[in-house]
Amino acid sequence: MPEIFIAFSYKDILFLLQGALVTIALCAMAASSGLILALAIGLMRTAQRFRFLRWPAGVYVEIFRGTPLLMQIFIAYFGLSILGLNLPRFVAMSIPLILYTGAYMGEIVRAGIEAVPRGQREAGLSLGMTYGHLLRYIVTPTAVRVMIPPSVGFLVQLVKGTSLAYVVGYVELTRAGYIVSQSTYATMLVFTLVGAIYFGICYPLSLASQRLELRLRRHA
Amino acid sequence: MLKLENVHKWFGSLHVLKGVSFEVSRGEVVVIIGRSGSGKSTILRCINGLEPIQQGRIEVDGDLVEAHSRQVRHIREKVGFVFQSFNLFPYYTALENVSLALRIVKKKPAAEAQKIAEEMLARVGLSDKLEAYPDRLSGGQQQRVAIARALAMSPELMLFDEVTSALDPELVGEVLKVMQDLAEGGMTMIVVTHEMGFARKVGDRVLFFHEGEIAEQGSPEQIFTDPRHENLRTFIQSIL
Repeated sequence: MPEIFIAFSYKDILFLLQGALVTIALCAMAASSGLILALAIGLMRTAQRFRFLRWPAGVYVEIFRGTPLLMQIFIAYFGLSILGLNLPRFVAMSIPLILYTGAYMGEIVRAGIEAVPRGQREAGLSLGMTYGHLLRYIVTPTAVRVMIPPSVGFLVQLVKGTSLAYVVGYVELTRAGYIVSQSTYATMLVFTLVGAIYFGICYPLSLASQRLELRLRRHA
Repeated sequence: MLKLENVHKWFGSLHVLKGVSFEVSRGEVVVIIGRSGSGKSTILRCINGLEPIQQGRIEVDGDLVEAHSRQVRHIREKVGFVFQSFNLFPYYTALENVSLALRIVKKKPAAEAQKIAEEMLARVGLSDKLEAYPDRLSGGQQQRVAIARALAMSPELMLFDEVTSALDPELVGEVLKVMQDLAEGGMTMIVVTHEMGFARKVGDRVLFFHEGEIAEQGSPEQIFTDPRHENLRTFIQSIL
């Protein structure tokens, strides 16, 4: 057996899987907190009664979409410590990812809300519904269906986006791959494996969304 | 029960209602006719507070209608609105479309809301479509669900905004029949329509809107057999 395969032990694989867990944890953190932020941003962007809320949300979205995620990571990771904030590495890494998710998903939420025809909202209003009623019972059923495909698209992008954490030395899947390849010299093999693990995280997301879409389609 | 005083409405620089005043008393059926763009649909939307007015007063049962105010929704509970484009909620069945507002606005228990919804759908002849989603219903059936949905809130006044204009000709009759039954049952109604037969048969009073004003009003008999306003004459000729 060639030497490179001998150098590549099960310990290296465990190390990669540990990195994969960190990647998944980062994504889960960014997706869940980011979604809450995105809901707030989407609602602000479509505010009717309090229209003045629209512009700060718009400025936020433009800034975080208009700058590379890499810069955001650098600033959050090093900038915060320069300011004297010594956050745990996981938290420091999560912050830019959450803000990034909030900006992109916020626009997806906005699109979902705006996809509801005005007539349906007016029908709800004419029955005496409040803004809260409209959101929950009239807007949500339509908006959720519209939001699923772009949301999954974004989530997949987010999973891959976490690989940028490697530039600040944070050991997630890509960084773990880099370290293993340095010690084993099995670069091709290692990164093929790393790629396969990323695919293994992303593909089930796509499958789940397809199933969800099908299930929702059955209702009307 | 409804009173409009000198109502003005602008869309930007477009002056669409130019001092409209009229009253509707309980049990009366008022039909509004006029060309498109004459302001007849806009006046209905203003009465329901869906559009703000810039000048004048609208009162329902003595309560001032102010679009975007908090109280306006209590007026809307008393005023049913039926739209040209039905506007059913697509992810709810016919039954759920009718019972939803009963549950969440009127806070009725689910069982009671469902019972009322079933009654209302029976009233518009759709007892066999309770579980159907809107996209499985014809236009006429959808519009009847929309009428049932408004009626379920037991409104004191019903507004109909060209409710048959989007329907295939053979489906118009079933909707007009429901409206006629309602009128005969004593419902107070304002009906914007191009159905002159209906206006004549069911209307107590006809208002002719022209360029944002009531150009002429009277009994259906007088409006259709002895129109005075020049524009009303040409309008009636163009329709017949």
